[in-house]
Amino acid sequence: MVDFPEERDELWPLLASVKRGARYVGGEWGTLPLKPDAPGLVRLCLAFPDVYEVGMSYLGFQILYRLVKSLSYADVERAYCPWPDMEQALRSKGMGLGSLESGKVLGDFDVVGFTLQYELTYTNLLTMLDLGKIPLHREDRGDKDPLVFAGGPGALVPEPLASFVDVFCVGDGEELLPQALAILSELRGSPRELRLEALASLPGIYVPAWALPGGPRGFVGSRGMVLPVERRWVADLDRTFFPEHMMIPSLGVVHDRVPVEVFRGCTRGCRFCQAGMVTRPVRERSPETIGRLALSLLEDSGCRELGLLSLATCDYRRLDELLALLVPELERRRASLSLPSLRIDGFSVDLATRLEGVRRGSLTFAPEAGTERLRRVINKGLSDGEILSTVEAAFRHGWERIKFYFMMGLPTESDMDLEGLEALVRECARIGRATARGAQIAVSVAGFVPKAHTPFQWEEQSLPEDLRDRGRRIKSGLRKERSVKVAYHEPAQTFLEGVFARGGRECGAVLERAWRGGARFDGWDECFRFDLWEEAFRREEIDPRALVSRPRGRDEVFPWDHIDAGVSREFLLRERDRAYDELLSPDCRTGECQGCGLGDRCAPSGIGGV
Amino acid sequence: MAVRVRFFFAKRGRSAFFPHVELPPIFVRSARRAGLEFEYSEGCVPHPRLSLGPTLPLGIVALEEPAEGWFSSFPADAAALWGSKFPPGLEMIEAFPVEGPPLAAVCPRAHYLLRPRRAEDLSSLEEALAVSGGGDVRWHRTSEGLSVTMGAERSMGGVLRAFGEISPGRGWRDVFVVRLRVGPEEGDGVRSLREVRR
Repeated sequence: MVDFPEERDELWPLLASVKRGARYVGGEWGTLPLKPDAPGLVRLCLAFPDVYEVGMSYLGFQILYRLVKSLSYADVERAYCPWPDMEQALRSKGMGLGSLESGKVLGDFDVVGFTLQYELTYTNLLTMLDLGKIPLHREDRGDKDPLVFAGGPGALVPEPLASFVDVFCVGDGEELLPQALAILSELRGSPRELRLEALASLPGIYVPAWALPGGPRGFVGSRGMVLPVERRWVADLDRTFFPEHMMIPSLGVVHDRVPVEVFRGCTRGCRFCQAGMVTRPVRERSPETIGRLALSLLEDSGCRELGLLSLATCDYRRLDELLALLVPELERRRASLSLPSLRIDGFSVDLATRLEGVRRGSLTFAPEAGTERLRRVINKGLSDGEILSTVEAAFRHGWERIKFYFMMGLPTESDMDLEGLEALVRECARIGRATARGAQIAVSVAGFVPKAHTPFQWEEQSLPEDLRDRGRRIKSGLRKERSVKVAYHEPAQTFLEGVFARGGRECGAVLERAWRGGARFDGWDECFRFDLWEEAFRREEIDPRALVSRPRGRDEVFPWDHIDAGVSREFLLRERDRAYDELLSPDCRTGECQGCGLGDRCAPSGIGGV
Repeated sequence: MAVRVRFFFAKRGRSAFFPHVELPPIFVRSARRAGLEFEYSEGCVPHPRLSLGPTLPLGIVALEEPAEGWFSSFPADAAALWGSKFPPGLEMIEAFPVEGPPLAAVCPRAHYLLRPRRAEDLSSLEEALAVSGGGDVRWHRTSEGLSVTMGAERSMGGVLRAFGEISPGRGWRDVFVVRLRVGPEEGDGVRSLREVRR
């Protein structure tokens, strides 16, 4: 009888019974073989707390996968969160969650490293721990259990997950992770406490077990851990590891292209934006390095779309030079270029038009607020005229659809700002009608969530019913505009995001209770169940409305004060005052230094503050 | 003048769960990695010229699936090089230039091997084939399992749905299915298209 090994694959019947079985298959081009066991070899599983299609579009894991593979003392595999149908199937068969590469259960790794990109993935982290046969609470883990790491922006507000995570990595993983793994390689087989103690001495590592309540910042370090933990960052992107080969999924994923990071950090100083505050200073890659990486990735992957990534790629100082180098090479390969973050100006429209060739689908802009006054408050600083002339230029160049991102519930927002938003969109629609046939405008409105480490970390957040009223109002105000489609984010999800975005350790118990009640994939509309969360808050006797909507005092100690993201509290307060005075602060790339707190650590490559 | 190349691939292991519609970008990218460029279609939005054989449902292991691509040139060693750039689970069997009728016209039948995971399900599965297939589905028991031929565009899903109705609770996960080949009918089976070079 012909032998088909597939028949013996115990996952096969499960793959055949769930939706989108392909997301559990792996099978990417560009993975590397597993390393054989060796003394001191540390086995890391990178864990993404969302589905495969989302996780495979995350550049961070592409970088860390190849980086760890390049280390002699460590090996790496990956795991993604199973959708609830697969979770149920695994549980019904008593099977654990394993890595894509070897199928090894997460609990058998030395380190399981999560990335925390979004607060509404936190229940998925618990699912992965539990299905991976790792005790949920860090104090229940023994010497044989993995150390649970977490990095990404969520590590800057670590307390909601402090009961479940052993080690938070604060800052750029390219610098921190190899050092942490080297320590663990030296100490492989040593008691857990010893390993944690050694890790805690590494700058940028936060071990919540060694943080004791007290002191002016809310926590004091013990057993060698110094608080505040300072965010680590790579000084020079040209000298920082970036892969020349990437894993290319065989399944369509969210962003199906090869990405190259053009620069890290942002100096625009938008006051609501956490990324812009916590990734300073700006560090640019040289056009030569970007060109080399881009061509290598295109050749090796077979992809024909290149994404130049950053928080605002049009701000790259040597963009002309880079395009002069790249565009002929891309044309020769019939490859296209995407710039996912465009400024609202004629230059950006011209640029996008030049790059897009004959296909002109949609352009996306983020004015964020509807009036010039409110845009001054958030330091966006765009005039209505600039927005309107950009829209006109886009439609004139043949673009068919413009997508706008706005926020509602911003500090100082009034009815006049919402009216202003409606008027602005109406005027854009009028321009569309006058300029292009079939012009469409899509408006997406998100509820404002005050984020830690930003000038708005003291602000109150609007409650769900208030955001719903505003969303409905905008929608109904624009109902007669046939070319305009308005959608607003589910306010209950925004509310929950707000709880964890500024949460303390008490949020952990709520998280666990909601998860035990069945909360999964809270960022996905089809899964989100606010009733489970309401019940969890009630049982834990925590009033979430007070948590999000309470204005904070200027001197209040926050549950993230023991994490130093680099920008000073004085700077954030100054920026907050300027917001209330409706004053713009200049971009420190082109204007004078704003004294954000980085001081002489700013701009090793001579970019910011000059 | 473009070279029309017929190629045959196997879909093994868990790659059987890659959707059929996701295969063209996989082949196009792997060809580029091998230094082969597909010809592009005419029109506003040109696409690489590639056509797949009859739809292969998810979760079916395939041993000899045909597809065709058009290239400006296709050197003798191109097939091996191209196959070496396939992602894990997909295997290049053979590729050669071809002329004549289009692929869809030369593979009207599909030959499957069905193995129920439980021996007692064999009769129910035969019943399902009888109920769902009409005169188009033919099968017989072999030492390997049920040898089944049917119209290549007929969905195996219909058979397995009928199986679930006859044996409630049973479905895809209870039957291991292999598509041996698609091609013209030949006796009780299906002739390999690899033997039909023109």
